[in-house]
Parts: sequence; structure tokens; C-alpha cells
Amino acid sequence: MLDSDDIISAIVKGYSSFDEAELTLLVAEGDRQAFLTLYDRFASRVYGLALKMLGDPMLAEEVSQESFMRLWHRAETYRPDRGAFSTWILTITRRVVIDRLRKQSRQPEIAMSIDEHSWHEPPDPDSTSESNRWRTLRFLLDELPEEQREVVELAYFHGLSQRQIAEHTRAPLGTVKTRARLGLEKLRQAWFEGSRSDDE
Amino acid sequence: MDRSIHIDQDTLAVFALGALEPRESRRVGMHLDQCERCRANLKGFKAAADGLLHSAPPVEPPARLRANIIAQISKAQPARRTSWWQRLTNLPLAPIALGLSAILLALNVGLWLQVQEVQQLEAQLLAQVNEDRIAQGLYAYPDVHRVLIEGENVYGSAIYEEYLRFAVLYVWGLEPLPEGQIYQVWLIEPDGDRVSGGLIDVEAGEEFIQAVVRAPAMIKGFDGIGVTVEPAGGSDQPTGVKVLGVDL
Ligand SMILES: [Zn+2]
Repeated sequence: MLDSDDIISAIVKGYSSFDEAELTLLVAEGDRQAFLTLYDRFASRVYGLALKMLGDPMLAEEVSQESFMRLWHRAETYRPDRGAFSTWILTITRRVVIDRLRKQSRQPEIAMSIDEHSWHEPPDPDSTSESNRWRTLRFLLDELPEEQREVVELAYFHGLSQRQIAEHTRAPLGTVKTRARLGLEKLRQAWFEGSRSDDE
Repeated sequence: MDRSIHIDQDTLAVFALGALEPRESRRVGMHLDQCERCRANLKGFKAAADGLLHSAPPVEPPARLRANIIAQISKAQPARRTSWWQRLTNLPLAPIALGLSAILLALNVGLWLQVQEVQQLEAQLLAQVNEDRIAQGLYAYPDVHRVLIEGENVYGSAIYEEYLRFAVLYVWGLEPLPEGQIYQVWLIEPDGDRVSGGLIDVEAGEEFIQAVVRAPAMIKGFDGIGVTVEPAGGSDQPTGVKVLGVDL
């Protein structure tokens, strides 16, 4: 026997108990409440990434809006088996930013990594045990040797191609590529060491 | 395929960062499509690159962003069906909850009233709510479906909104059951399968019950609701006598 409080709480809490996979299914059906629930969960992540990449609050706001509109129109393209929703929406955000950066600078279009495919199962950055590790990654990035961090950030967050990075940093192309590898390897290592120590 | 030209690690790293020039990126992509070994090598780089997405500290966006997005999605799909509940979501929740409390409270007050009277009361309440503009979204309340309950000695109604995952039963006349038995609600799927929607315990002296039926999916996916008498604790499938039914 349930009273009116239960009804109210079911209404108020309803959507917040759904996971991202359920919510995106509802969004694909045009459910605005589900959409806003996802917005409330991820807006600060999306806006944070856009702000980090662009450094301009107005532009970051525009990009966030565009990213969420893509979610609204294309929710059905999210595939939970390919990774966490947060990675998906942040990938969209990064893409929107980089499209803009490249349009602005009239750079030749550079192919986007392999966002559409997924050949691995990335760990879920939203599960409680993983979230600390992702946070660690944030600090690890700052701790990379300067020249490696620079290559990683110019490529991933500013959308420069390897040749543009070589020009920008006045380093030979081969050196740029090696720095990219070393940087990512360190991040990856730190990641897996983190996994091991967590399991113990 | 020519195994002698696997992609070197440096190039895989740059690929994972999305920084290869288009032509080279396509070449690498085509190779990866066919080469398990290189895909395996890419894995760690890609995981590290994905991690970078999460390395930006979260920052609360200005409140107008949410408002702008709501405005845009309202324009974006005029043809889409919007339910009253979906329309409600533009509004702050507190006043809505207040408005609903008022109605539900009134329904409790209506405990001794007949269905007709409750309906009248509800209409009056709705009118008040509209005037008050406490919860503008309740304009749309009539979108909620009300269906009559069919049963031998019970009467009442079920109220539901197709896009929500629960329905509310208002029932008069359910007798208290002997110890060891309980009423169980079933949601009837189009193929005839029943899934439990919860238990209803009727205590002596309770002439009226109001029960929330919880559904595993949106109500629009079900054909009906039924209530049976089951052993205490409930059953996996209905086993006892059916006391009421609702056609959704
Ligand atoms: Zn290969």
C-alpha cells in the first residue's frame, strides 16, 4: 500500500534512477525529461571540456549547446556496449570543438581518430571505482614531461595535425610522433598500474 | 594482407590522438580494419586518449544554457508527441509536486466520495490550479488517461500516463484478505505475459485504496492491468483468483 508521498517521489525521482543507456533510449523516443536528466548529469563535464579546449566561456557555451542538440537528434546512435555514455558525449563535444577550430583557422580537414569505431572496451569512467582513476589521469597529464604533454594537448585538445605540431614546436616530425607515443604510453601505464593497485 | 607493413607504435599513438593527416589516417584505418594485431596495439593508446576526455575539470555552465537548450528542443521537433509530463519538465519541480500533492490530498479527502464526486472535485481542483498558475503544466493534466476498473464487487479507476512507468489505481471494495494472502498487481504484455506490478495490502476498515503500480517499462507498452489473490509475499506468475482488471 503506497501513499501519495510515494507517488510524488516516483514522479520527482523517476528519471534519476534510470541509467544512461535507459535514458538515451527514451531520448531517442523524444522524451524531454530523459534528455534533461542527462543534461543535468553531464552539463558540467561537457562545458568543462569545451572550456578547457577553447578557453572562452561564450564559445564553450555554444559548443555545449550544439553537443546536447546532437544528443537530442542522434541519441539512437549511442551504443552502450561500446563504452560509457560520458565518453560518448565528451567525444561529441571534442568533435564539435575541433570542427570549429579547424573552420576558424581554415586548416585543411584532418581525419578524426577512430571515434566511430571502437575496438576496445574502455573502462567505465563513471563507476565509482573508476572515477578516481580518471581523476588521477588529470594529474598525470600535468606531470608528463613538458614536451610530451605539449604534443598530446596540441593534438587532442587543439586539433593540430602532427605536421602542424612539428611546425609549432619546431621539432622534427619523427620527434613529435615519438613524444606522442611516450606521452600516451605513460598515461596508459599509469592507468593500468592504477587498475592493479585497485584490485589488490 | 602484407604482414610486413604493420603500423608502427608512434603512428598508432598519433592516430589515437586524431592527429594524422587525412590520407595517412585513411591508410591506417583501412589497415586496422583488417589487422587484429595492430588493433590490439592501438587499444592502450585509444584508452589513454579517451581518458583525456575526462581530464578536464567539470565546470558548471551558466543557467541560461539549460533554458536555451529547452527552447531549442521545443522548436526542434514540433511533430513529436509531447505528454503532459514532458511539458511539465520545463517547470521547476517544487511547484509541480505541490500541485500534485494538492490533487492527491484531495483524492484522499475524497475517500468517502463516489467516483463521480471525486471526478468533480478533481475538475474543480484543476480549475484552481489553472487560476493559481502554481503549476502551469497541469493544464495538460487531461492528457492523463483514466479508465474504469472492472471487477465483481470492486469499482474505481486507474490513472496513467503512457510515457511514465507507473499507474495509480483508486479502488473501492477490495476486501481485507485472510492472513497468508495478498493482492498482487499484474501488468499484461501484448503477448499475454504477466509481470508483477507490486503488492497491495488491504487492512480491515479500509474501504478505499490507492496503489501505485510500478511497471518495468513505459505503461504504453502494456495492454492491461489485473489484480489477483496470491500467497503472502507474492508470486512469480498469477496463481489465484482475479479480482479486477483494467484495459489500458
Ligand atoms: Zn597490422
